Amino acid sequence: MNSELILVDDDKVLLLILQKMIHIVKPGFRLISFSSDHEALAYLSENPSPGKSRTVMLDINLGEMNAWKFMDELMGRAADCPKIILMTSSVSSSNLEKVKKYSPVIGFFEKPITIEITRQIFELINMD
Amino acid sequence: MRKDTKPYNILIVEDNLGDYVLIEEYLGENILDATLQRADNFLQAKKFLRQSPRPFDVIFLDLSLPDLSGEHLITQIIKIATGCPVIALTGFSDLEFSIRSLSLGVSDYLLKDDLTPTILYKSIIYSIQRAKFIDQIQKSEKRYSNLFHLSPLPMWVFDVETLEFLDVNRAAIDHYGYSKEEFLAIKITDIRPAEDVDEMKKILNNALMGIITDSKNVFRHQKKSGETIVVEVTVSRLNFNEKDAGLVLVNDITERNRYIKTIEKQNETFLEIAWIQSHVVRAPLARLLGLVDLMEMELKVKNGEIANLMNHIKDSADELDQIIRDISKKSDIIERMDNHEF
Repeated sequence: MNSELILVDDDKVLLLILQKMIHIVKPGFRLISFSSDHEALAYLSENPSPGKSRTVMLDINLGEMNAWKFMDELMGRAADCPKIILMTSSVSSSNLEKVKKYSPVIGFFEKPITIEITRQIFELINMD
Repeated sequence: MRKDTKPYNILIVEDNLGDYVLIEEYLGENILDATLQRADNFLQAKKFLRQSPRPFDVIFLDLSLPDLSGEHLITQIIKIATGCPVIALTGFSDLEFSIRSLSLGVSDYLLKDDLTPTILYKSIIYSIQRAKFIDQIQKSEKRYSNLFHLSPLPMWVFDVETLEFLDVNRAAIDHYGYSKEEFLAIKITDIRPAEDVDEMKKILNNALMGIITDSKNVFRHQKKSGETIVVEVTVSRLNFNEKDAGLVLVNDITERNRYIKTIEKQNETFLEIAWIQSHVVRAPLARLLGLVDLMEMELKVKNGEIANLMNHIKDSADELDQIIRDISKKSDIIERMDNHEF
């Protein structure tokens, strides 16, 4: 399989839930998880993926840097910027405006990510 | 010739009966409805003026009466007449004095030997109109003076060159604690903290040259007690008794500022709480909701009782989620108000 999904969330329990849900919806899908934003960034820049379809699911309120900073770094480093799906546990509407300024973002979801939403996410990934 | 049909109530103070009859006759030529009252000396005139049931429209005054005459007579009559125009009747020998009588408040003088019905009538009409104008001007002056003295906000007039107080109103006296005499003995620089004086002088000089540096005009003032207050002032330039002066209107905003600061602080705290609701509290809740969703899937719950309990957990979590969303929506409104989006 040429597709790869990278999960970045500092909430380890949510990471676990996501992994399980993805396993239910797409068993065997190539999945890499990071609870540290720096590690995720390091992996992405050290492992360029030409020809691969790579998607990053990113929590907006990351530990050290927020998702915006993460994306700024990413867009600056890699020529082939992966597609981004943003997740947030916040219900404040102020994030929605910001999302529009980031072209790699293909989806924006409020937590909890349910089985139903996981299915929608895969539809998004496959559509591109 | 058509006669004036308005009713006139006229007092004629004249000791010479012949002169009185002549005036009576002349008046009759132009005025249809004249009520004449004759006094032949000052005391009688005084009595009529005090006791007349209807105020007089005009008074004719012979300048030499048996009991009083000249300047003294004029000042006395004008005092009692209270605004009613006084026309002096005089002979050629008194001409010079008659002219001077105008400065004592007499509204016109008539030479008895030159008298005609027309001159007499014209003098009456002219004097009554003039008295009305004077009355209006005095009332208007009083109104403006009241605006100053009865204003509930402190006001004062100061000399822009010497910076001395020229006049202060009651509210300023009450608010600052200085008596009127004390105010008039100090300068506007004396009612502010010493360290603010230079800045104030700079602003004043700029304003005098037409440069407006700070449209808000907020200053610190100091009361006699030493208490410092924050005030918003409005200054207008005016000519006060031939002096280049500034009229100042003061609005004490010390309390208002204190309230605003408290409210701003409360608002900040409130937004912080709202942010915690929206971001921090919801994170574990989202985790909980995710877990419930996963458990339903993973366990493929068949046992009725456990399924029931799961539903209760889910309903409670959903309810909590709704509450957080409501709070977040309300705090969004406040935040947008803060940013003046409304």
